Amino acid sequence: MSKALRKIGAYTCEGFYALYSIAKGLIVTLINLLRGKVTLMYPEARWELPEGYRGFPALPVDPETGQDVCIGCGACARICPTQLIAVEAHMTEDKKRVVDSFVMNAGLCMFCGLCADVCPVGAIIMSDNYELSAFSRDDLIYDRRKLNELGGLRKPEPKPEEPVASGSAEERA
Amino acid sequence: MTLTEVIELVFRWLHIPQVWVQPAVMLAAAVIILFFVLFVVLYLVYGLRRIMGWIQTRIGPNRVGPHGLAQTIADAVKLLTKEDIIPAMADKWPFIAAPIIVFVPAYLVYVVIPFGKGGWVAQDLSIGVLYIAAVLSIPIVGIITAGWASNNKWSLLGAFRAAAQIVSYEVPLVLAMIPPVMLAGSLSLQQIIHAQSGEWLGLFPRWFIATQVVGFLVYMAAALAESNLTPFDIMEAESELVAGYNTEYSGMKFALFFLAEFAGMFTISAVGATLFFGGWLPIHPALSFIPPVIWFLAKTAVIIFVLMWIRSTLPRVRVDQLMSLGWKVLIPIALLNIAWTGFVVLVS
Repeated sequence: MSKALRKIGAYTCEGFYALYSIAKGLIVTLINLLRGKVTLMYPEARWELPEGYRGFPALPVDPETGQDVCIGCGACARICPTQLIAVEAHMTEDKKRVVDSFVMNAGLCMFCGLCADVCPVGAIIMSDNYELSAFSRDDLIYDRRKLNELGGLRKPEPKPEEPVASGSAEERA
Repeated sequence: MTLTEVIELVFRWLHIPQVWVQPAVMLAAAVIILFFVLFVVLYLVYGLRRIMGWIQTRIGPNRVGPHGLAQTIADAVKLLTKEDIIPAMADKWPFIAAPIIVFVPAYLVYVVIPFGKGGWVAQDLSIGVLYIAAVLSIPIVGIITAGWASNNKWSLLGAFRAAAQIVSYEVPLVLAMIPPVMLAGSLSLQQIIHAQSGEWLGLFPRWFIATQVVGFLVYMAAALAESNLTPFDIMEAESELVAGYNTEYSGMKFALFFLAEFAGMFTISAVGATLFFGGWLPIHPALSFIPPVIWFLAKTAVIIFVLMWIRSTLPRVRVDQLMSLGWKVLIPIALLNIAWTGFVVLVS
């Protein structure tokens, strides 16, 4: 008899506990209902980009010279994991390098930022542009002019002096 | 001016014999209710999407029309212009009849829904509650027909689950509807509302919820199951059964199923408001300047909101859990509640 009573008691307790947990869940959802919404009304409202955001790489134009500061060394083309950068340069007679073309294919870019990191003169920056959709694949090929437009006017920041390999030049010599 | 008087006047003006007034009034009432049902369903769907969006900290539909209010109208137009496919191996006539069998009872229930005082009900049947219980159990025939005629395993499984669920939960639903009938001493919905008028201590409304909290909880649980909302939506469990009994349906026929489901949700909430929350009675006589229809719709809306709220909170139960909850928990509680109500009636 007492066993049966205890069983009924346990059963009832379980029922009340179930009601309690349902109420707890309902309160959680009610709080969510009243909370601010996370949806961004995209074309009208835009995301505030954090500092250091990595959009598509670009070649900003130095306002003083009206040109980007690329020296055509090709370091970016070598380090790019998907090999989307093609740099062509030639030497003039007085041993100066002239950049003939600088082409990036946005369809392959994975926004890793290695090109910007490796550039010895700080010619490449990671721009804020993330709206890169186009109607044809050809539109995704960015030549130097388009990359300049993307980069806008910006004074190139001098790179901090940082040795590429450890050890000083004298030591290696 | 009531509907009858308006139609009488128009008929006199058009020299139509007065014999036709009564049928015309009935037809007009039927059409009005049909449009009301369509309107209610459109905005219940909108409300459900909006509330579920808010609970998931999304915004929900807000693009078509002001605040997205025209979204469901656009959806309905899209649905009706879709191709109406009957699968080659389906049993054609039952396949066509099933959505009608499901929709007609859902629409018929509105005959007894008391929207307001006096004339605001199509027909105040003296057996209103019994009528609701009877008519609400017809759609299951259509659901089984749909599942069987579709010749699709998902449809059939969904239909079987639906049959098991609806038949099981009909019992606690009706048992939960009995105590208000006992307290009012009548099956007529208007009589039940009248029995809830007045206040305790001149402040608290004498609604049946005061003694029927348990009954109301049982009613809500059964209502969730009857209107196929999430903790008990195993009959169309989209992650298991594609869409349940209406997997093969498209276009107009699917729209009828959809319409019946949401019309049923409104009905069950309206009946809940009538039986436990005094229908169109105001909270306090001082607030009786607000029309009874508004009171009725407001109370119904609150219950619908609670149903949607629960729907977007709880996960789906397992089939066996559903059955054991219905038979082992809800029905004994509902029976005990009837005994308690008998005690209350005896004392008062």
